[in-house]
Amino acid sequence: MICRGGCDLFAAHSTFSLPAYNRVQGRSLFLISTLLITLFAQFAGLDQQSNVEAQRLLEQIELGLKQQPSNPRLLAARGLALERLNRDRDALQSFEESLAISPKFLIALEGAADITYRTHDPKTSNYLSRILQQDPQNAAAHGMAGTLAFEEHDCPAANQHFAAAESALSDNPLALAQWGECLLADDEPHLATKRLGQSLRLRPQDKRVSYDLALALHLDQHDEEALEITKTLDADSAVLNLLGSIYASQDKVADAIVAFRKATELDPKNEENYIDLASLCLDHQSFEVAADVVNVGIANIPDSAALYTLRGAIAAQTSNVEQAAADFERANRLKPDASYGDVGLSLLLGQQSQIDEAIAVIRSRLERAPNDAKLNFLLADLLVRKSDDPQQSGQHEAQRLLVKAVGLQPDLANAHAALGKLLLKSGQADLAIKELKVALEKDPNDRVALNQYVLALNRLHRTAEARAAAERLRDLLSEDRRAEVRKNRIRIMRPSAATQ
Amino acid sequence: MMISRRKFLAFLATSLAASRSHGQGVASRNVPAQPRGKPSGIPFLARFTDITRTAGLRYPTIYGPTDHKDYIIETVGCGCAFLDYDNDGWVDVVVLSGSRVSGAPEGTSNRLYKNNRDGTFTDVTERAGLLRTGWASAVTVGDYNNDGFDDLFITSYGQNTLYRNNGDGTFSDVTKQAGLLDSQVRWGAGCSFVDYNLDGHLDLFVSNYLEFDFAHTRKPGEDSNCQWKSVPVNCGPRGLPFSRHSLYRNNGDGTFTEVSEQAGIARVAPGYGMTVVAADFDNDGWPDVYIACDSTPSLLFRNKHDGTFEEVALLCGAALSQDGMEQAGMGVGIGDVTLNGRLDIFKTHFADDTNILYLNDGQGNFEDHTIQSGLGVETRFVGWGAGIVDLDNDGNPDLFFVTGNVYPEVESKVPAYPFKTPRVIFRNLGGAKFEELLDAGPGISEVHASRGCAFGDFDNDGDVDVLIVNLNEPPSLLRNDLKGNNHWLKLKLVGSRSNRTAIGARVTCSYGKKRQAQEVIAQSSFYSCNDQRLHFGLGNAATANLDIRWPSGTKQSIANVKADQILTVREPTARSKPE
Repeated sequence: MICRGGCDLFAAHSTFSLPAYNRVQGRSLFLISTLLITLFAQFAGLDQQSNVEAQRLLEQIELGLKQQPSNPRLLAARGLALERLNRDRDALQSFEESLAISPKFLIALEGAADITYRTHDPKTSNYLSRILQQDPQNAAAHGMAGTLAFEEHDCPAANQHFAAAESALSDNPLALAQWGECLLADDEPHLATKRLGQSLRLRPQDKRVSYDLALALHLDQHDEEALEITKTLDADSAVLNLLGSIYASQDKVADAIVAFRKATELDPKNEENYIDLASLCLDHQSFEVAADVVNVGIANIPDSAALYTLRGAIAAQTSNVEQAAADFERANRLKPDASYGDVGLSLLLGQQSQIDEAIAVIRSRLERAPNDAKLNFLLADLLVRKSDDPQQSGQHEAQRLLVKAVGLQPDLANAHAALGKLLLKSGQADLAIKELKVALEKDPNDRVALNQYVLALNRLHRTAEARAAAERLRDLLSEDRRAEVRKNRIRIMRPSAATQ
Repeated sequence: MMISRRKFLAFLATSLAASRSHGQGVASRNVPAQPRGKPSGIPFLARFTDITRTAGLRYPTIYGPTDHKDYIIETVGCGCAFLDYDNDGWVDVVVLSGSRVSGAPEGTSNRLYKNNRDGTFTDVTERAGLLRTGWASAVTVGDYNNDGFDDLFITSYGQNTLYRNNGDGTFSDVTKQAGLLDSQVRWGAGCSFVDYNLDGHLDLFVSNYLEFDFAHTRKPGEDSNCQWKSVPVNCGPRGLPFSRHSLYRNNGDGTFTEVSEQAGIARVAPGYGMTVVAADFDNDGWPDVYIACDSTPSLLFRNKHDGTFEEVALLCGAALSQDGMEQAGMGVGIGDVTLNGRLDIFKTHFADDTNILYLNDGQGNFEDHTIQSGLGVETRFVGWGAGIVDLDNDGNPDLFFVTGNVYPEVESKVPAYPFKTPRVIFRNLGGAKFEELLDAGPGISEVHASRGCAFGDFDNDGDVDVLIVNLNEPPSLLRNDLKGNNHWLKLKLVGSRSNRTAIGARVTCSYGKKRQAQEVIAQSSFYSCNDQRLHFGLGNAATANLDIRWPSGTKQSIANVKADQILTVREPTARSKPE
């Protein structure tokens, strides 16, 4: 989910005007009669109130159609007049008649697209793609296509269309908000901030966009600005959760705990609040408090597979293997289709050096979901851990699995990094560098990738690049260390212990 | 909210799989042990017997209380050395000691034991002028004034000490006149004599662990840097400030000048430096310096031949594990495990992590070969002193390391992490494959909180014995009772144009179809110094060919050397032509 409250933005189309009325003058694409030029010019000059004038033009067109009933331009002109008279159904029929005779007639396509878009007619996509085939720069068509893709939760397509429609979006707060949300969904918080900010300037009171902007700013590590906006929002569960996340990343642990706690109180059936609060405790090595939080969550949401999985992970961290295994198995039973429980169980088995058993768990899960990229990656990881020898057959299988994983999910940085590592180990430094570069594009802070990248470059005697990458790695290590020490300075105590 | 879903999956992956372990003062990757393969069944002919009591090594190494440790300084411990201080051909023993915050028990001191040549030793500390109570760390041995007698340099919390061997069984503290007095309290850690500028005089490299003072150090449990397995423990090293490392140039007149700035040492982000090993890792004839660092990237200073160094460990793959994680580098073994004439590195780490084996490509680039080598089967212990040494004289150098936890408070709450733990041997099966030996005699399986260890042949019987420092106990002297008919060769090198101890001399020994490189080094293991006679197990080869590269650049070859002898080789006075 990328928006609060069931994604209200999906409920409304953003508005676009395809430039049918404005595109006639100066165009030589068509052999338009003087009459039509006049008519279209007149349409362009009409305002919303000129129904009388539109009626007069419609009559003239009808006269023309009597003489030339199969003239696609006249049919399109009639469509425009009818549309102006709010007779959408008749207008669409007229455009469609025009298109039946001249399927590429752009004015008719635009008219049809305009009506079907407004009326949420599924034919819209077809008209829009035909328009964009002929006129790839058509900003309004891209804008509409962007909104449609947004509604279909296809954010990569939406982002492409919105980017092409940028010139048509500057006064369209809804489309800008959709674009912003899709950029957020595609892990582009920095770009999202720009679009959501534009949207909010056009509609300053829009709380939903305010929330999104705060979220984008937080993810883009501008926590002060994010906090300022978040504090203006009504404190519902989602806002409190965001507030908690912001405080946590500012190391204001006590404030974060208060915010998360309030979120769980306001919405005790939302498992994510418990997960966030427990994660915060775990970040500070407070396993007991984290377990307490998860236990409260389980009491409120007894069928939460995620919470059982998290409790299993906490138990595993504190060497309570039996409890961990029981929780992972419970999670599996609660949500057999989710991989949490199996993944947890396999990782637990791996931790207990029962690699073969861990492999068996993931293999069995993969049989049910062979195209799950993360499961392919996990199995590869286990096979590599079983034996790091590049000559062994497990390594070949691991390599195949990793190739499949990155094919299924090209942004899975870990898989690219693991593949790069395998390739380097087997002496294919050139290929390794390619994979490692992709991994680092996806996640510049991936230490496995960066370390292997340094070594691969060094192996190929690309010394200057290797040195530069080594410096990046050094900086990353220092930054991680500082962050960890900062985090470790704070220890979250159980309420009873804290007061003692 | 969207953040938590991502965080949740990430948490799952990092909390259970191999990854950094956050929220503790020390780096450990939470790596599960690799499954053990089938035992090879090949007999291992070495057996180790603890003869400490009969040998007369009776003084304990005091290091903090026994049941808890409030400060990191009480946990780290110290090293030991085999050295022949009286040049009688029998290695003697130095065992360092720390102290207690509440005051050291009577008799606490660094100790020098003279070898009586009959399997026993006599404590000669007082007579030798070495009585000293403090928080000693490391020892390095070398003849810094080229007078024919090996001297001692000992690092400590507070002030390091240079002891000049007077040649009459006594030592003099010459720290001040040598210009080695520090103006401030530092925590001297690893140290090694090294002739970094190849002028024939031994210089000194010193790592400093961290900035520490009792007054400003947090107490156990005060934050997550002071927790381990949810048990409150002493804080650090993470969260405590770094200290810079130092290089002191020998002026050739008995004094030293600190050249850390000029040499490029002080410019490098230091990390928590521990054991220092000076050796020629890139085979260019000039000594480099490797520092095992605790919970920070280890450092490799490459000698640039002009009095300066460049730190290249990240670039060369010797800083981190292969997944880019810092490890708690404590001890270092140096040797040629693959018999290709190159010096590989074996480094010990914390519990829940593997130790690491870096294979050298001959140009000073390293590959983490830990898992492929079979070393990933052991992650239970905190590893310290280590060596790459041929324990059974089969011609393939094995791995040995000692262990011991740093948190005595933990085992009562988490029994999987006892404070006292056994010693570990990985025997070399050839082809860079190792096998952990779970039964190599009581000397190996006995549990102690061990730290430094040194390797040497105290009874001159042609095998490698082991001296081990144990916290708050006397040391362990493990006599190697090697059976079988494998041959061996031991070389004592004496420099002439080079420094007299021949530190930095490289010997490549060819025997049968094997070729093994070793170098005379002045510190390795953990804060310790081995018998500086190079020991080669020769398997069934009755002779060996030697190629010696002296620090002066002189090359010397000796063919058909008969096995089973201790051979003294003196550096030729005239430079031979390069081969």
